Amino acid sequence: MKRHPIPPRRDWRERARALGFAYADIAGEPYWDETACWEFTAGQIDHLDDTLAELERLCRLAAEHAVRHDRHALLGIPDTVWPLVVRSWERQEPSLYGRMDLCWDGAGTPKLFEYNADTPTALFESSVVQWEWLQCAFPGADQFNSIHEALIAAWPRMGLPATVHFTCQRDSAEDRGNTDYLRDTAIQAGFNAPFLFIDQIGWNGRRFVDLPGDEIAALFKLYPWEFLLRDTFGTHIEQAPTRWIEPAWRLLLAGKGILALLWELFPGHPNLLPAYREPGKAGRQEIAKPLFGREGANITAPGHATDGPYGAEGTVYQAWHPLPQVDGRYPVIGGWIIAGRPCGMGIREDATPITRDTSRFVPHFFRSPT
Amino acid sequence: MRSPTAISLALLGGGVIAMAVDVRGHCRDPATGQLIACTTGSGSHFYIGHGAWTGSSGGFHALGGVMRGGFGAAGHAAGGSGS
Repeated sequence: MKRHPIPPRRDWRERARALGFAYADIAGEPYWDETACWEFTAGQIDHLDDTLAELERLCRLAAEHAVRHDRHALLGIPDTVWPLVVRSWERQEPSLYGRMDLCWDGAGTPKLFEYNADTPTALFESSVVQWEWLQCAFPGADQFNSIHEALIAAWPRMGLPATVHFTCQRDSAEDRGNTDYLRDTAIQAGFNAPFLFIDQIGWNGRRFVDLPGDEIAALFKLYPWEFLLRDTFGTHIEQAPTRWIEPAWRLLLAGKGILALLWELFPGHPNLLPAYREPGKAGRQEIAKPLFGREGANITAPGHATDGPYGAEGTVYQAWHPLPQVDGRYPVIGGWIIAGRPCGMGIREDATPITRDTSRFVPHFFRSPT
Repeated sequence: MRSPTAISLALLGGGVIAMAVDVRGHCRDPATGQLIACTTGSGSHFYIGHGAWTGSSGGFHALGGVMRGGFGAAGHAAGGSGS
């Protein structure tokens, strides 16, 4: 795993625009960054693939344990919401996608930082933009990336109706770009895929409806469950027949509480870090993460702290395992799981050990053995 | 990196009525720009970190019996939904 500073393509902005990549810059700063790239060996990619599969297996076991033993308090899931989560798990409602954030330097053992199991972003750039970059920059090389094909293959296997609505919040090009990309994969898989903003969803007393008043039978929402359930319409979710993507059971994995449960169930597992709901138990320095924080907000780590709106819901204390530092950058590996299987990765770098929504996406490649 | 703005709300009923609801739950008549009372709006009072996650039972009634605007407030308060 090596970082190579490289000259960016002179026309990369035009290419990004042509792909529909509307958030190559965020808030006036580069988000897509091809002034460097990461090279892996085929063996390292195999190792990451195996690690992601193993972690997915552990997470499913932990989810089953949580449901069977009512561990929602550890996970920070309120009593009132628990029956919805349990029912979703017992029905085995299919999951489409998730992103595991890993710490690794190419040697040793990758460690799970967290699982973005409900509303992961950075999907479009992982799947499409860095693949297009690969064809230009290293046409003879390969990339850990079958995300696009896996998504198109996954949709028909989810048992969904012919029309799947898609929604996200307004005012975020990143959220809209990720949602539209998933719409595109659903359309390619043969679905009708209308879009509406989250605040445009209607409730007719029995069902959620779209703007023309037609039933929303299935809904992909880039909007987290803990927000849905806090909103005014959250009280209607139990009675509505809508199929949700991601399903409600993903709350089991999307909060940081799963890190504590994983360590409790699989203590000493090489891909896990010690994690607890109480401070001072990890046996070394700790990073404190809000149970339902996002984008690196409200993190407290040795020498680092970030602000944000989260934290009142509780905290998970994870053993401090700093990201490797290369060329002054701290890379975190985002491993993609589609329909339960590993199928790609994207790397984001920050100038600090805390990965935030301003961290830059840096492409990768590997060379297949000849 | 996300700039919250007013939530737009389109209400469809026995004609098309378009309203906008700001983050405090006030309805604005798009024709006049005047603030008006939402039919039964309870307003937005969602804070990240509430333990109960209990949504308000209020909502914004529309002609034809379809309420809209009942999702989005929590995300608006947080400033983003992705992770």
